[in-house]
Amino acid sequence: MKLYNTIILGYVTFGYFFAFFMYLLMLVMKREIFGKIGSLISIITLLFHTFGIILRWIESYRLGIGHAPLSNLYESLIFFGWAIMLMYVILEWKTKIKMFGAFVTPIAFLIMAYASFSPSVNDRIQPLIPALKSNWLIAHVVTCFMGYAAFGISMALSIIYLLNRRSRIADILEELNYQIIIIGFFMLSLGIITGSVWAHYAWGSYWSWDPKETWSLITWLIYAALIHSRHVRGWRGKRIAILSIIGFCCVLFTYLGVNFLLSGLHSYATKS
Amino acid sequence: MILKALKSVKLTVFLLILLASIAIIGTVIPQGEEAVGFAMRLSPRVFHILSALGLFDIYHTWWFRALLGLISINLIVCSVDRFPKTWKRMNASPPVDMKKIFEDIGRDQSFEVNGNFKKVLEKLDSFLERRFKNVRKKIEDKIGYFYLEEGRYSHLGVYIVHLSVIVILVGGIIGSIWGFEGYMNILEGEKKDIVRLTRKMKVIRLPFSIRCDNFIVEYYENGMPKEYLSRLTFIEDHKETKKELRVNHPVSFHGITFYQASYGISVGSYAKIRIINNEEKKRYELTLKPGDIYKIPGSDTVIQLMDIKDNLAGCGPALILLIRKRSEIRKLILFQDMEKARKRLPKQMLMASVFDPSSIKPYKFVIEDIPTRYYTGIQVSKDPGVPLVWIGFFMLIFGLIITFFTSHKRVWIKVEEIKENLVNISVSGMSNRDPVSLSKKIRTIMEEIKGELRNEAI
Ligand code: HEM
Repeated sequence: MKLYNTIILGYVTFGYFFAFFMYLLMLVMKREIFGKIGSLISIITLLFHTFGIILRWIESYRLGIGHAPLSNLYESLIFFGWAIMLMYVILEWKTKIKMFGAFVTPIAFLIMAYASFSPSVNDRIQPLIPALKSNWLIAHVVTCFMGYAAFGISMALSIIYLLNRRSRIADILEELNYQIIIIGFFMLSLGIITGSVWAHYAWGSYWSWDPKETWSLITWLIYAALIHSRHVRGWRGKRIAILSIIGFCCVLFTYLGVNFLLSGLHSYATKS
Repeated sequence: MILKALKSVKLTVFLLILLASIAIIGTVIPQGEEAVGFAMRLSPRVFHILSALGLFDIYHTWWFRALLGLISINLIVCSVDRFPKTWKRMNASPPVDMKKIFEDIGRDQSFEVNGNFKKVLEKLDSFLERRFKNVRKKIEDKIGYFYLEEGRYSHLGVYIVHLSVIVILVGGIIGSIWGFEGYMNILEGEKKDIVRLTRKMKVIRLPFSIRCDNFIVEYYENGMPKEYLSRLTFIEDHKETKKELRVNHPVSFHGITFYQASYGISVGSYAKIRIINNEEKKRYELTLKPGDIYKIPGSDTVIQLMDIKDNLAGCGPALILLIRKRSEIRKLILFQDMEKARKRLPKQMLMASVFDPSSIKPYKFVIEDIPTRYYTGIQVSKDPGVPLVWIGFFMLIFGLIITFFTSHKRVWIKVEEIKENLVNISVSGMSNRDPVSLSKKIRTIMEEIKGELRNEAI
């Protein structure tokens, strides 16, 4: 039985694609109006996305196995996409710069497409195994993915920065990029801490150097290095942008690479 | 020279990236127990090199710890080196050169009001006194300045963050020196006080013992596990304390914490089998322990129970029998759950005579019962460093909030009489970081002043 939430979330994928297309038209045709349409589509799609997540939550209760929709690979991808778009919409609203859209919406589109259409991602609502029954899980997943989302946007800004280093907006971009990295770093710190507390209650050890834990620490160290490198004289702009791109690669590896390439406690991707 | 290197943030960036790179190696090469399978596939030379470098247990090698030590020293030296300057900057009195402060303010940072200079000044004064703490002022003949500041402690955030890193590391060290981590498997009905340590070939004896009264697994309708529960009794000098242990709900007893980690099925010390003689229509029921020998009455066939397996080839409990008929010796393996064996093992394999319970004519061998019991796998740990680590976590978050989301803002307000009954009010500011929130602050102060002066016409 296919539930309504997965159908809605499937359509959300196309919503982000259309938004991307509009932002792209704006850049190519240099016409403001396409940007406005892009923003409108983004916001409406985000609303549907939010509705889909809430519906999934409700439907899980209807199945008698109610839990927050944050418990497997599918649900985490959906939340990841949602967090990126939420942050993006806020960013666009605050800065009034629409050009970022052409770089952020494709990320959200790819994440949603992977979640909805990849045969290796199971979109069924499953009951929680005992280890996942913890409020720390919710805190952990929400904070981690908010962090990942901020880093995703930062990566997009870094690419834009590297393409526009001589332009007028370079300084604004660099400052904005740093602000978003700071939010991401704060969220990731919270994510690692809540994960650590959860591990303490579930497995009896707050840190056990499991590959996923270690990779989240590696990511954290890269961004800590980035934050400090601003205090080394002259290390602005280009190096920060490059470190941010490396940092997001670490994020992706922490999130997906570890599951597929290494083994460990976090078993989102393993099929029973 | 060395001190200078230790003071540099360049070294910090280098060390942080170095630490990240080494941590990567530890995720590529399997660590600890998982390394065993990997190590067996390596050539002996490579194995010896990797092993001597500690690459199978990177995070516990002396050089990894030394690196953490070096980072801590770098961190402490940097902080001690900079703290006096920060303290001075934090408490410094505001600059006095008003010309410079109001030199290049934006056009939207000043406005004009109609009214008597003295009256405007008075209004503003009483308003600012009400609204802010510690307003300083300097009033001259035709010009007046007000000064206020906010978020001075923002400067200290970085130090809290850095201190928190040290606190967490110290918590970790305390845990590794005075704590332990191990596990115990207890059969239902059994009592134990021995803990096997993880990562060390050592056992320790607890000052009390634990009995597993029973172990329960609950399942969802679709067969996924829902709950693992051990009912435990802690026994100390004949005093019994009952506790329930579930995943995510550890139990503490005398400062030692117990976690539900795993479970398994263990066979008992005997098995019941039935032998059917199809020709003579006779059947024999017997109870055997491993090693027991039984001669089938009125025949030359002797059977011996070699072993009772908990879980043979992943197919659950099984018996291994040796059957001797004169000089011929045959081995027979009987699975308790033949369905499961059929699912898991290849057909050709099960056709072999070792697995065929009627391959020894005229007998057929049937398992009557292999009594099984659950055992519960409990992770045991004592970590006196945990409270410190929790404090460190708290400080880290608190420090990051102060560093990232507050700033030291200084705001000046200038009131100047331009001509009779026309007064100019300008607002300017400085901040240690985050220009966006400073300009927001200036904007709100301007709005509030405008509102205040409009409310009561001057
Ligand atoms: C390796 C040891 C470390 C050293 C030597 C070090 C040193 C420094 C120094 C000198 C500053 C500049 C302070 C100032 O503005 O006066 C700084 C800033 C900072 N450090 Fe560290 N640090 C270290 C590790 C860390 C770690 C592990 C974190 C992780 C949370 C961290 C977080 C920060 C933050 C958040 C700032 C503020 C950045 C800003 O002002 O934007 N530091 N650090």
